[in-house]
Amino acid sequence: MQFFIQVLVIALWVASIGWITGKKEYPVGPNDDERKKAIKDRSMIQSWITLLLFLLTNFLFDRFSINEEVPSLSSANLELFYLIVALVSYLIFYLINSRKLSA
Amino acid sequence: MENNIKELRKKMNLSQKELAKSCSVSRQTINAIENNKYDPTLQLAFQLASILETPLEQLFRYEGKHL
Repeated sequence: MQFFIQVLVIALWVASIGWITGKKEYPVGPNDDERKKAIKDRSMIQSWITLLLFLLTNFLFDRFSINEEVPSLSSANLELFYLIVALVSYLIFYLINSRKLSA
Repeated sequence: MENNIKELRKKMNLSQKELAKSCSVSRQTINAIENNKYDPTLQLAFQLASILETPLEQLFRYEGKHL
């Protein structure tokens, strides 16, 4: 089961990286024009910065024991939470950047 | 970065769509460049200069601070 999940994750990685970047170097995904590639690159950077800010906030809360009374998420839910943060922020920034560079 | 792509394109009776097609980019890309919303890569800048038959230094101008 573990092997199949690892294979599935690798297949998902190969498929998604092409779509997320829009670059033709990857085996799957569109060959976007350079404006769209720039939009996707910016969105990726902004999404990662958002994720890093969430991690930093969480770290500081833990460091100074600020969120002791807040029910903490289990480690599996925490990973899912950060994954959702990364994906949702990517989509939001993609829409914002697309609007900025629209016709 | 300022540019005079719009003027040169109109002089050559090219639409944004036609210019975009000859550069293999989308019409939105050409529109964003013309409106100074997006700086093209060097490759696309050279392509535009070649299609519009203008030297690159006449197509784009930078009016910021010199280093």
